[in-house]
Amino acid sequence: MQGIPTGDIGPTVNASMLFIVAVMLVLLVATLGYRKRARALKYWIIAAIEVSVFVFSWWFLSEMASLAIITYTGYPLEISLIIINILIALIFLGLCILLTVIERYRGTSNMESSVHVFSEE
Amino acid sequence: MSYGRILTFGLRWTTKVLLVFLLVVSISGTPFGAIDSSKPEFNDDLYSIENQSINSPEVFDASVLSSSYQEDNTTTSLGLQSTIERFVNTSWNIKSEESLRLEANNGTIDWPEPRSSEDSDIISTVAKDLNSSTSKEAGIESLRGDSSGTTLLSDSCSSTSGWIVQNSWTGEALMSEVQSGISLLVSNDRFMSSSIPSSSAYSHGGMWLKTLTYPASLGEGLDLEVDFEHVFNWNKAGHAGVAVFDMNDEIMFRVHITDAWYGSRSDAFVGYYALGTDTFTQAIQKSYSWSGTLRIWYDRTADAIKASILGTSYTLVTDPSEAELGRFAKSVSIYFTNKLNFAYESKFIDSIYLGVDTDPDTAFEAYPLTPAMDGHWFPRESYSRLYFQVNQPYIDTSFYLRIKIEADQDTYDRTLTVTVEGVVHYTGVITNENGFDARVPVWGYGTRKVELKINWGAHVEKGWKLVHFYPERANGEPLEIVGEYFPVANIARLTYLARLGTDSRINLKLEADQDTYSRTTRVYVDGQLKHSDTGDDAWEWSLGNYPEDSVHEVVVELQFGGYAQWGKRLSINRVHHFKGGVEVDYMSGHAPSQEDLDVLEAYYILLGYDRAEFHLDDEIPYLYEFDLSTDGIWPSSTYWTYSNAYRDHIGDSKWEWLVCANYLISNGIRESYWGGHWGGYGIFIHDQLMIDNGLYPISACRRTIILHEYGHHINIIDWKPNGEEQYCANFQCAMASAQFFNILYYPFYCAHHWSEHRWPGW
Repeated sequence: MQGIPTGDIGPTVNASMLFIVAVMLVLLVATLGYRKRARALKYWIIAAIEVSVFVFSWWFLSEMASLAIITYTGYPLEISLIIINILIALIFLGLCILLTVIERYRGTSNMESSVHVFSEE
Repeated sequence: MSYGRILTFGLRWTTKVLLVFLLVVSISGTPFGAIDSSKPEFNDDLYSIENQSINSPEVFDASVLSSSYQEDNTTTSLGLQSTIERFVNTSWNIKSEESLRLEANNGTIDWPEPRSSEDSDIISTVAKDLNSSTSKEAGIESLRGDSSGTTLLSDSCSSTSGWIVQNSWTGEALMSEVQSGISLLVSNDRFMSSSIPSSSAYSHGGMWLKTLTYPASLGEGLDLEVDFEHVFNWNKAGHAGVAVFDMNDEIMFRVHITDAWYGSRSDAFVGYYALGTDTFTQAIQKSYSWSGTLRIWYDRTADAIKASILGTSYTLVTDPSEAELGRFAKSVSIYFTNKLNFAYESKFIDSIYLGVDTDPDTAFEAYPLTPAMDGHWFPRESYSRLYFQVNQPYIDTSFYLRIKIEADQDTYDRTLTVTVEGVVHYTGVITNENGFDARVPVWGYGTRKVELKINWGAHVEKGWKLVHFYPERANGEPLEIVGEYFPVANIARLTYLARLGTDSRINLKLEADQDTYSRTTRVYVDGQLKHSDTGDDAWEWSLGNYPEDSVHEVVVELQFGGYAQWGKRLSINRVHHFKGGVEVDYMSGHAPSQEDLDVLEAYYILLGYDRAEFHLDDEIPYLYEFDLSTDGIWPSSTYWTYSNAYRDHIGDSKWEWLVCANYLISNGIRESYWGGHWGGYGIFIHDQLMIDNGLYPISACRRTIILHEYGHHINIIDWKPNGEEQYCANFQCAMASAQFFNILYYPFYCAHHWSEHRWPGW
């Protein structure tokens, strides 16, 4: 097999990307929570669990997408990497939308009082 | 809104963001630290054996095993991991001069040649006399079903679907003129062609092509088998053939039949078309009507391209070059031709098969070498017993003992009893003809002492031999052999058939169980005492040099072994010889640890007799970016500078050069991969890129990437039709692309990829 180069690509997701994704999801959840005047600790614990699950989901789905593209498609490596990056971004956007929908309709135990306080103002 | 309220608002908001973030960190934990891939998950796969009687061992069924395997195995198997750990963590009392040999820069190591002339003749004769039935196929390979191989194309010639007509073929020519308007027809499950128009071309006709969905290399044991039928008809002529094309559309294999229009003569040809212009063909002349099989294949065991024409065998090429073996079959063509303007009548193609003899199953991890090696004789005693201890660490309700026993010199039927922890799990008559080949179910988990007993076993010296023994899970995953005990005898001997070669060694670890006294252990090869030592210890002993992969009798002897039934245990017993070396040169801060390399060495030793040695060699000058190619010139001048200065084994394909660099670039652009293998040039690890990733322990990354890239060096690779690497579909296999399923402290090959291995340079 003389002269045949075979490069082995590694995971496309790295620790700093994961950190950035976590920060962005935290900001999203916090913003939505603030808009609802949520104060209950239970609300924020659930929000934290959601973010953790979504960060892991993004990591897992990104890896699975990379694996599927690299293993099962016949595209050249450079093209595969572009597709993978697009997919990773789309997965992130999809999860953001899903998280927004969940947070938008998730009730809080202090929601009524928040509304009440708001109306007083 | 007042400033105070804005401040309060800001503080509250920040506090909440921080609270959520800290909770995220505390809940998830791992994303910001390294995950511990070394801890495999236990799983609670509860396999039911309710329908199996305890005395009815199950016959091996690979399909059942493969279907259940992928679902419940998530990391390295515990058996494999603990065996490697035991090997790596043992302090060897080394008595092997070769092991202490240090490498010097720019100095090649002269491996001792295998003994030649008289010595090798003697050894070979001894080896042959040991047992005529011993062959590579008789060991674990046949048990794992490797002989079935992978089918690339199988056509019974009952339908023309998938065969694409070629009117303007640009590859290597099978005929002088490819004509259009000829149809491929089916007649009684045979291919034939419609009439071929006259032409002034010497050879003209039609051809049809099928591209393989799974390209495979010649070195994988490429095998083309075609059934032809020649019907004689006076004053009619016609030729038919099948050819295999490589990635460059050049002919690799060609089998064809020709018919002279005069007389009753016809000829059957097989040919290997080498790179360049050389062809190696054989032919047989026939007359009148006939039918039969033409076959051409690469025999991996004999390292030769062989052919068979209507039952007569030929060797076309012996010891083909690596470049030849690396050629990939891309497509298969059938063709029908006529000469000039002769009266044409079509010949028939009955069936076409193209395959390779590598294992198709990616679901299994590669199976370790059985402790029975190539054969392990039962001692000559009335109640002849072999003792093992096995470990089933999973929370499964049961596991299996896969056992294969064959008769050797004993001509009578005997009784086999399999006892686990004193309880009989199987007893039955094993015939001289069939022996025993099945798996015996065992309940429970944890370590178990297993006794295999044949009575009567005192009739002849080498009556029966164990050819395979391994504990495994219901899904086929190999479990752990804790050790083998010595028989109860004054001079207790364990006698094996093992494969020896260059710089053969044995690793032994003797442990006390019920016998805590100090005893003497000796090792013999073909009756010659090689080494001995006293006490419970671990030894690496040199056994010497022998013809490559020759089978020899290796005896491990304990004096005195009659003190207790479970007295002394050999917890490590590995025979191996040098097969490949890796010279590891590294930049500052990028050296793999000695333990990383030891784990890889131990893994190859676990899989078989072949030892790959990983030597941490030179620290090479640091470069922030190592340039592999500049302005399209490959390799770069940097490569040659480093290669000339630090590569010790240039031109020796037994040795691979591994460079652990900071970053790798080519043409000024940083490469996206973690590691790369370039045939003949070396393996390059993008070490800093792995560290930058930060999600995985660097040690696990290095082990996985080195196992992957060195796998390419020993010819483990699948290809996509576009010529790029086809990564393994089993994401845990080291030959999948690197990701969280296969970046492991104990990476492994799947059975399919390991079956592709071929050590270069031998």
